[in-house]
This record gives sequence, structure tokens and C-alpha cells, in this order.
Amino acid sequence: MITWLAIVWKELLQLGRDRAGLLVLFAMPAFLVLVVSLIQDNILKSGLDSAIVVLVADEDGGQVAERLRDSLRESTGLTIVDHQDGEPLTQAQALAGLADGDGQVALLIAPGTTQRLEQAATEMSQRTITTGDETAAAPPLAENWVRLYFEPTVQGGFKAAVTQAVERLAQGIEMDYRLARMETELPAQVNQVIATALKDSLPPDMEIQPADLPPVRFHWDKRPLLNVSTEYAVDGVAGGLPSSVQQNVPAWALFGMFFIVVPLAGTMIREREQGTLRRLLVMPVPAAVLLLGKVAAYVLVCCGQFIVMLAIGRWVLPRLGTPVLELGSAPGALLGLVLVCALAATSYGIMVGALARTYEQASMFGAVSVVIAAAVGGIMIPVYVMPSFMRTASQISPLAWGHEAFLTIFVRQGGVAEIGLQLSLLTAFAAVCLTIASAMLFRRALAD
Amino acid sequence: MSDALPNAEPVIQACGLVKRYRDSDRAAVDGVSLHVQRGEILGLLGPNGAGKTTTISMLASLLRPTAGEITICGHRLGRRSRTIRQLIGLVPQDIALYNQLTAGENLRFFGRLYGLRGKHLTERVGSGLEAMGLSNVANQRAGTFSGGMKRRLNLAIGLLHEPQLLFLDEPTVGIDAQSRSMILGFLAAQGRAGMTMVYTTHYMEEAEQLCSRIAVIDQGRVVADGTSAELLADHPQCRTIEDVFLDLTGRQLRD
Repeated sequence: MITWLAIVWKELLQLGRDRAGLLVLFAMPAFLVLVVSLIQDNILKSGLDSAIVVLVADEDGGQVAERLRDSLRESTGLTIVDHQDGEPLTQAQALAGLADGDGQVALLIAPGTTQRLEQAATEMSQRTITTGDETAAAPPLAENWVRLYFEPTVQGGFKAAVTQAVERLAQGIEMDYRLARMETELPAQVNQVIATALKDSLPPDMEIQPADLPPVRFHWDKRPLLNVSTEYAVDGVAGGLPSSVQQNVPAWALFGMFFIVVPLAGTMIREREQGTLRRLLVMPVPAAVLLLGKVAAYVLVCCGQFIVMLAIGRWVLPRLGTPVLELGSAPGALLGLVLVCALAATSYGIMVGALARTYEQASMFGAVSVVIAAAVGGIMIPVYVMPSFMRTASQISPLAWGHEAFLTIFVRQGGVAEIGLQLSLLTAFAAVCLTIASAMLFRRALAD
Repeated sequence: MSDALPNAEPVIQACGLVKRYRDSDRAAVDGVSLHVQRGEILGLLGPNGAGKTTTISMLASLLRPTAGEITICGHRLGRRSRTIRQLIGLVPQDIALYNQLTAGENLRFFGRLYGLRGKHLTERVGSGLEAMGLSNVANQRAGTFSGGMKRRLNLAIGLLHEPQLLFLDEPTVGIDAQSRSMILGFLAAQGRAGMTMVYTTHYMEEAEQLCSRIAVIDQGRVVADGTSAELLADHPQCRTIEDVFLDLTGRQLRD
């Protein structure tokens, strides 16, 4: 036991004095989780939830522009800019601002839009009432009365969301105008119909007074009658997609843990090249103890990495505006999963260290293989936004197994039973890596 | 030192050792037999690729012979390797240290692996540092040491557990005259105290000065074995051991 502890202590002491190794293991994933979580937090929030600047050039000056502007202002995540140097924005200024990157969207409202809308609504109301043909409405306003311009880098999702929001608002305003005209036109038309009907049966000199009809009001309750609710269902359980923090903290923690391949393989190759391994192998210590000492030391380091990432998710990221990392309700399963992931990462590092002939081979292959496994395994981009063939491909990555299990605990409130498959896969992966490593390591050490 | 042997019994009995590597047609060691008595210092001389390191690796239980038998301190190698490993020490040709650790930490780590604990470990670490003139740099990282200091620390580690048999594979390569003189003086004292050693080197004068017996090995075979006086007597045309060596192994270059 003391021998084993001596090996663990030696490994920790060596790594503790390897500044480059510490940077790779702790600073790199911490930096990545901070940056990517903050970026993805914006993306994962609803499309209009991020700060898009809309440059509004109101050359109408009427109610239509005012209502559009006010309604957009109430939308979360949209910043409305309609003045420059204290003066209302002109169309030219709005388009120039868009070109300069001062905003992502320009909303141009042409002069006379309100007047034209009122006129069209009146015509439509009159035609509808007089002809009884609802298709006999006035032709719509030309499309270029309200125009949207987008900065070229605005993504499709945002573009569609802003367009739909403006269209929905325009339709609401239009409907209000139509109904308002109907409120005045309908009584007038009713009186006109009555007067026409009575005209022949009354003496010609008799004046027909308009009937005092009850007022028609279309100010309906704005609450929707047909409410649509949205929820996410995962594996039959109502839940939600992971927050940016739930997605990224385990993702980059796993990435950092598997990146242990670089310093770990490095120490192993140095041991072989400097002859230290040969010296260790003539000592009265079983080879398995030498190997397990290394495994235990690096499993501890991996656990340390995870704790650092967890702390960032719980206490640092929320201060920067992201949600707090919710850990689910199975701490035992979480602990077990962290240990198994740490074992898998360490075993992989030991295997690469045993297979590689030089430090350059180990660092290059180790780093590239982890980046590829991370890209495929949903570490950099969530698996649920991947195309279906990529989702299938992601199942070959041990990082994907680990990440899926973390999401099961964090998001779906799963426990050991729910992550059993991933635990088994990761354990089997570790066993295969260690078997290959021990066979290669001792064969090569003795053959050199 | 446990498992004391009667003086008459050889510390090393190696018979018909053969080693063939998987990727080579030629045997690296081809029928080597060696018998080393307690307190003897055997010099194993040979040109590059002669089979010295392979022979030492087999004797030190690092390599399994393709054929032949080895008995160390009365224990047959292969059956009780762990017991044998407690009795032997190896000072490898490479400077097998952890550069990130201090001299003291290196010694304590290897000492624990040899089963040394507590006060005994502290005493052995202290005496190792002192014997090698490294006490004042005990807390300095090995990576900052000169070549000579590293070689001395390499030797201190090999002697930490007071082995009955010490294998030294070119322990003075690339160091200054002062360090070499210190190492040789120390090894001679250990020899006088009864430690058995197998010593490989390319420096003939070192072998002549330190070793009680010299075996010349070439192309995997022992081509001469005896004291330096015996070897010189067998080759009357030679004035020095180096002349004998060149006479036995030839003057063509070995790479």
C-alpha cells in the first residue's frame, strides 16, 4: 500500500511541477467552458432573446410606425434605435448604420403608410359591407411600404424570427384598423339600407332620421382563445433541453479529462526514454502496482479537473449571466460517473503513452484524437442539433457516452439505472485500453 | 542484507545464456556462461553491440533469456524474481531519474519502492546523499544538476537498499574526471566491503583499476575471462588491457 501511495505521490508531484501540463489540464478547459457557455447561452435562449439592434427609420410619422416601434421595443432582446444625434433616423442613415455594423436589422417605414392603411381599411370595409363579398377587399398596400433589411451575417433563425415578429405586429395593426373602420362603416351602412328600404313607402317630403343604433365595438380581449403551449419531451419524460451550462460544463470537463493524454503520455515516454521504467521494472514491485499507481494519480487529477469545472458552472458562470448549473438529484450516480469517466480518460492516456514511440507522436496523436472524439461526440456542438447520420456517428465516441450520461443525470433527473449502459461502455473502454497498454508497455520496455 | 550465502557459493551462476530478439536473425547473446563469487567485481568489456547490456538485463531479471539458466544468490531466476530483485541493484546506462523531483525526493521515492520505511529510509537517503557529495543540493531538482551530479545520484539510488549484487552499466559515461574518480573510489570501497558487482565500461583503465576479474564479450560470446594479469599473460604481445581487448575483438569499427 505504501509503495502504491509512493507512486501516486510521485506522479502528483511531477504533474504539480509541470506548468505546461497544468495549463493544458486546468486552464484550457476552464477557459473553453467560460467562453463557449457564454456564447451558447445566447444561442440556446429563444431566438429573440439576444440583443439584436433594430435601426428604425420612421418617415411616416403616423400611428402605424409608432405602434410598430413601441411593440418591437416590448420584445425582449431587441434594441430599437430610431434617433441619431437627437434627430429621427432617415432611411439613408439606417441603411448606412447597417452597413457600418451599428445594427443587425433596419426597419424602414415609408411616408404616408398610416394614411394609406386607413384609406385601404375604409375601402375594404365599405366594399365588404356593400357587396357582401369578403374577397372584394381593397388591394393590399405595396410591399415596400414597410421594409426590412438584414445585415448579411445575421443567421437564418434570427432573420426568420424578426421577420415573423414584424409581420405579426403589422397584421395586428392592420386588423385593428380594419375593425376600427368597421365600427364606423357598419352603422352608417345599416342606416343607409334602412333609408333605402323605407324610401318608397314613405311620403317623398318626409325626412328619414338615422336610427340610433347601439354602438359596435371591436375592442376584444387580447388574450388568445386558442392557447398553444410548448414543452420538450425526452425519452417520454417531460423535461427540457440542457441549458448552456448543463451542456458545456460536463462537455468541456470531459474534454479536459481526456486531454490528460498529453501530459500523461509525455511522462510515460520520458520514463521509457530516460531508462526510469527499466529501473522500476528491476525493483521488487509488481508491474501491476506500477501501472495502478499511475492510474490512481491521474484519476485523482481528472476528478480535480471536474471539481474545478463544476465550481465554474455553479459559481462563476451564473455571475456572468448564465443559468446556475443544476446537478440533478442523484449525487451517488454523479460521483460514480465522474470516477468512471476519469478512469476511461486515464486509461486512454496510458494506452497512447504505451503505443507511441516518441513524445511528438503521443502529443500529436493524443491531442488530435481527443479533438476528433470531442467534435464527433457532441462536445463542441450539441448532438441534438447534428444531422441524423452524425448523431449515429457520435455513438462511437467515449466522450459522447460520458456526456450523454451527465445530461441524463443533470437534465432528465436520471440515476445509476438510467446511465448503466454508458457506465458499462466507459468501463469496458478503460479495460481494453489498460490491457493494450500493459501488454505494450512492458514488452517494449524489455525489448528496447 | 538478508539471505546470506555461504562464501563458497557463487552469487551469479549463468549457464548457456542465449537471447534472440524478435526482429533480429542473429543472437544478441549466444551461449554466455558466467560465475561470479561473493565480493568479486566482474568487468564486462566489449565493443558496441557485443551483448553486454543484454547480458546484464538478463542477469538483472529485466529480460527473459531465450535459452539458459540463471541463479542469483541461490535463487533460480524466473521463479522468485521478487526475492531476487530485493537482493540486486541496477545502475543503468541511462540517467534514470525524475528531473522534476529533487535529489532527496528521487531517493525517497525509490527507497520506498525497495520497501525502506521511516527512520531507516531517512538514514539511507542521508548517507546516499553524503556519500555522493550531494547533501548540499538535496532539495534541488535533479533536472538542474550537471552530468556528473546526475551520475552520482543515479549510483546513490542503485545502492539505496544495500544490495548484495550491483549491476553497473557504464556508470561513468560523459562525466568529468572529478566525478569519475569519486565514483570509482566509492565503488572500490564497496568492493572491499564485500559487495559483488558486475561492471560494464568502455574505459579499459577503469576496468583494470576496479575489477578483480574481466570478461571480454564479443558478438554475444565470452572470448576471454580472467584477472587482468591472466589476460596479459595469455597475450604476451600486449602491454595493456586495451591492447588485449583490441587483439581479441579486432580493430574494425563497430557501430
